[in-house]
Amino acid sequence: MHKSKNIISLIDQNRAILLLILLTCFSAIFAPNFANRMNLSTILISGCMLAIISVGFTLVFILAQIDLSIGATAQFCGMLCVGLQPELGWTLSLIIAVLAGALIGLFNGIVVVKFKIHSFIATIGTMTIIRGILHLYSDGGTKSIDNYSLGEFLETGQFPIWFIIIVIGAIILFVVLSRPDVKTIKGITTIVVPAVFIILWLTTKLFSPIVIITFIIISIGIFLVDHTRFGKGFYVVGGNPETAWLAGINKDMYIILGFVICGITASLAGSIFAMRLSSMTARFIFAQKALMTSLAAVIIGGTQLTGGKGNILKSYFGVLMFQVLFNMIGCFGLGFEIQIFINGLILAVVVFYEAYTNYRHELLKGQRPELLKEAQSIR
Amino acid sequence: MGKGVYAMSAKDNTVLVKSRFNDVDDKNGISKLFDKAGVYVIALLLIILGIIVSPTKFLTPDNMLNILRAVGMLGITACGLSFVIYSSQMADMSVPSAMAFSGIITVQFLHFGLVPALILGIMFGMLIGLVNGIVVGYFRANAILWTLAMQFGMEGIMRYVWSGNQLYPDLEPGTSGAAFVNIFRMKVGPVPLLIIVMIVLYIIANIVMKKTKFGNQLKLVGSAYDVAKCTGINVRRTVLYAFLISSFTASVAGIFITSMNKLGVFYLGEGYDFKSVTAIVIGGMALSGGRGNIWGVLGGVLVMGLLNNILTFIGIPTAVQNVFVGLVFIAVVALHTYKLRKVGKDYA
Amino acid sequence: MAGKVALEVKNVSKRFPGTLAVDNVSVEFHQGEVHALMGENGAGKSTLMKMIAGSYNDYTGDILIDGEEKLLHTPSISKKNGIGMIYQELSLARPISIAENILVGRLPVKYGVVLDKNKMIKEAKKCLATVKLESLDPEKNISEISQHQAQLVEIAKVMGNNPNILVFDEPTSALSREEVEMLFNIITDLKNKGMAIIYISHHIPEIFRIADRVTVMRDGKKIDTRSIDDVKPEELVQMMVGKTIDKFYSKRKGKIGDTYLEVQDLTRYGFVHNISFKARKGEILGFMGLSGAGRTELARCIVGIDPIDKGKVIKDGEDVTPKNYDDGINKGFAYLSEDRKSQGLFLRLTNEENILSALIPEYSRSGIYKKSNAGNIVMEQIEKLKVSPPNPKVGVGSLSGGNQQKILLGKWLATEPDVLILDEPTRGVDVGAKQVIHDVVTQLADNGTTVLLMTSDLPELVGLSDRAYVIRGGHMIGEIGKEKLTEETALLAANGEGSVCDVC
Repeated sequence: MHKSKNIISLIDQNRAILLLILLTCFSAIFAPNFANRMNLSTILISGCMLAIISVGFTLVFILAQIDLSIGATAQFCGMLCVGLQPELGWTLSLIIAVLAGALIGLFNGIVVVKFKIHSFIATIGTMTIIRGILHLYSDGGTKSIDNYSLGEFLETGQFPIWFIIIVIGAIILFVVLSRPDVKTIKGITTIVVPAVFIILWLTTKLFSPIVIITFIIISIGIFLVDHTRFGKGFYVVGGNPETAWLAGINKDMYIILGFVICGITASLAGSIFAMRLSSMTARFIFAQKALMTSLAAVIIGGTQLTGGKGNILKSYFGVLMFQVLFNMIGCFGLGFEIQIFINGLILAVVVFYEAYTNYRHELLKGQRPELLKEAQSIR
Repeated sequence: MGKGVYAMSAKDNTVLVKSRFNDVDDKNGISKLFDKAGVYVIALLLIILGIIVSPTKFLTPDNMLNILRAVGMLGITACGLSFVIYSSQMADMSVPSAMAFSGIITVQFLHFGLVPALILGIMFGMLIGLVNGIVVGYFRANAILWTLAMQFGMEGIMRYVWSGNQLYPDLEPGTSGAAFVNIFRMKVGPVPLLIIVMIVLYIIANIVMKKTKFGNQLKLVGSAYDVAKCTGINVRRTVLYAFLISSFTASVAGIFITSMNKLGVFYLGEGYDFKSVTAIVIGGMALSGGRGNIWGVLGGVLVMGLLNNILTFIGIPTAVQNVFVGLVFIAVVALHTYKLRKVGKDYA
Repeated sequence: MAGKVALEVKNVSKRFPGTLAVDNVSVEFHQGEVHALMGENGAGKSTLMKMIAGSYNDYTGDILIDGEEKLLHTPSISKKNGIGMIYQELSLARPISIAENILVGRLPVKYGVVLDKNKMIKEAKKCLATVKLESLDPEKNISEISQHQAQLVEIAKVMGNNPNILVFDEPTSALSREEVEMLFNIITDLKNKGMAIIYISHHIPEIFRIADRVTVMRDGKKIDTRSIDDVKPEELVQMMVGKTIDKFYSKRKGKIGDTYLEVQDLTRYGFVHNISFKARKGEILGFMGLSGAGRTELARCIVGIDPIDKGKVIKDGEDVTPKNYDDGINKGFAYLSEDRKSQGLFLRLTNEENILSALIPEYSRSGIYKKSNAGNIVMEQIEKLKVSPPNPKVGVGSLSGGNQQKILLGKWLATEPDVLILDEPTRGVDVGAKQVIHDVVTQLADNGTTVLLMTSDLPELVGLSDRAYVIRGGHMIGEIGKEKLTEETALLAANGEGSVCDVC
């Protein structure tokens, strides 16, 4: 009895990566044109925007909030980035785009904390506002530029040697400093995974610069949240605001900061996406799909709306899982609509599953252990 | 049932006592008036603003009818959605898909005749509400996440099954197609059918909310879910009905919007989720449930119509009007929250 | 064994609007000693402890720590002075790990920013060792461990601040016998290390096992402090309960009829097991038991709020085992919830709406609800229960505790039940309201309603009941007849002491 419970729990905890592996294998076997380096690289590249969005989005979930404006923020800031590039160049326009994202996040945070409005409603409001501004700024059409050099670099370029050395050096430094225990599984993965990554990076062309940048951003996110005292505060605020208050942690500041970071990652994601394509569409379905998929990815990754729980890495696995799924759907010749439907279906299944588990749990809450033992011995 | 103990004086004094007390409840006269009809005050102010902005064209019967027609569908969806909000379930994000779905189904089955097609359309639309009601009502799933999932899923289905192509009703005169398309354009006397349906729905909704067992229990469920459970109310069934009602009105609105656009397509309901919630909240119904009334919701709908109309007169494009709507929404919610805070009550 | 005085309260008092919760109390708490604080609900022990914890900044009198006077006006000042509180509602965050909870707000870092996970685990283990939980993996989440272990983690967390004085507030209500043993071992251990331990409880057997000295409070005053060797349980009960002659219970006028309600072998696995009893028409049947014994669960099962696994409810010869609460109300049952704020009253609505809330099905025909039929009922209840202000349109949230309770009672009286179950009907209620409620309930029984009274207010139980049953650990222990029913016997029986005659 106990053992099967543990196995189910283990599977449930790691469902994102398990599903990812399952789908990848399935696709490799059954989906035409799936298993080649080009396609795999494409999958990684297409997952970049959502991956970056989900870094901040996961943080908001950890705080027991929700941010429905991320798609709109990504789209608008991306458009801003591309739109301003001709006059200001990439660097400055990127900075402005990210600042805009931060401001949107700040607005969300203040509305939620100071006006005490539920984040769901507040961020729908923000989303609508941004949509309007987006339409105004884009005049209904796509914003694009003719300069594809950055885009090409991001997709198929190569970083300069000094950059590669710094990154590899940082990875090695981090692994060494964390002093992994070679006897545990965790310790072994801490050494093996970075090693495999470095080898793959240097020898194959699997990881485009944009993917590397995404990895860096994800790593920063994970570092912040899992390895700093400050980052751990998010979990406490979201897990039990009482505990946070009793321990002297400033709940309001954390919530506002969470929204700001979410806005920053959303704008960053949109900007990088726009840089890659050297354009950004004004069709709002872009923002909606971004929201849909990020939401499903984060929830499949195991983060819950109730707060205090969340894992950026698992959210990334969730994103990758969806990218593999969408790619597979494409390989089978099915279209965009199927993607949307599957997205909704998976989200529905996960939400229902979590509700059902909770429902069963509530029914049995408050049982006295001795009485249960008694009951079992009678039966 | 057993006997109770009656205080003899009660029956005699009741009338006297009732006239002595009015709605005390912590507020003075003006504040209470604002609470009950505040949204109509805003509407009045907007009308005045409209007259200022465009003295000749604003206060004409034509323009007034325009406004009403523009908000007709919003009025209908907000009417049903307010039941979900009243029950403190926070959201029904699947309204846009229910609208589009009922329209598509109706057009799809027009060859069975107009009335059977309409019935089928509404039934299919309500199917969405049924699923929502079961999952959120009985299994207590998060309403926001679940209805969002439904919305995505249904949109995907509609895109796929009808292959992203619009479904055009056959418009030969004399066919059900023509009759269907006429629904939106039909008038009873000078008043469009749409408006009449909307008003009728509001009247019915008011009766349901105030005068039925379901409506009164709904208020209790929205006010305090756990207390309602300990008061013998079947809270899960009540929530189920709320979602059914929401999907019903969404279906009706969907038929009108499909008729208006002369095609059945997945995106017709877009924006109605947010717009409906905005109207409901502007109208004074709190998201926390158990507060507000249906006429306030109608007021909120009118306010939004007036706002959009005035903005159009000023020359602001439709898409940008969203910005203003969003800002007004946040301002109104903040105001409500502030007032409630002052009296020491719940959140918005 | 007793060391010097670690904490002393001298002539302290705390006033709330309307009551003097703590009245001129002086007690000394010594190092290396477990000092129990006993008293019934409302005796003032929780307030006294909150004072020590720094929850109030307006108490009068002196509090001395190690001989020095300190002003304990905020929780952090208390903490800084070495006082550690372990509350019943744990202050842990469930989704995060044990280590993070223990060290919350002061997680160890290296290189300035980076979290030192190894150090964190080591420190957490150190704290866990003080409660003998070294084997527990500090990386587990609180949601994955049992309630008992969570409580120990809470202690470990408090220990991490190096307190000299530990206060336990009713720590054993949710624990099994073995877990209580473990807790006691830890407490004894801590005591031997020199800590001053204050243990609040009203479980007499526990006090005798763990305490060295005991102070009894009643009505805000300290009755006496005695060494545990020189006092007997009956004496403690007498001190707790006192000779409250000022409380006068009206004589019962009505005649008690035959058996009207019979509960057979009622079982809900894990909550109540095999409970059987009989209640007569017009009888007020008391149910005695310590908190957590299962009385509330029993009540909820009888009326249909919670599902039953086994057993029957028979009323007036008919099997009326309810399928749900609506069914139960329909069949003539009513249950007045224990917690009026979260389960009893719609705080955001008016008196009128609350009183009518359970009557909606009664006044509805084919879905239409006719409120006009119910118009008089509201004023009837308000007048009968002397609600102040007698305005039906006032928000119930603005009423005092006593008046709120009256509205709650009015809500259920309005349903004209055959069987009314009251759960802590006068908790947090002022004396005047209490009297009114008692009178109304007595009158109700006199007119033929069967009343099941579940309360931990002993004078109330003894004064109102015609008979009493004793519930402990989810089981029916036995019955106490009217002749033998005194506060002492009731409390002893609930604690498992003294002789109780079995009837069922």
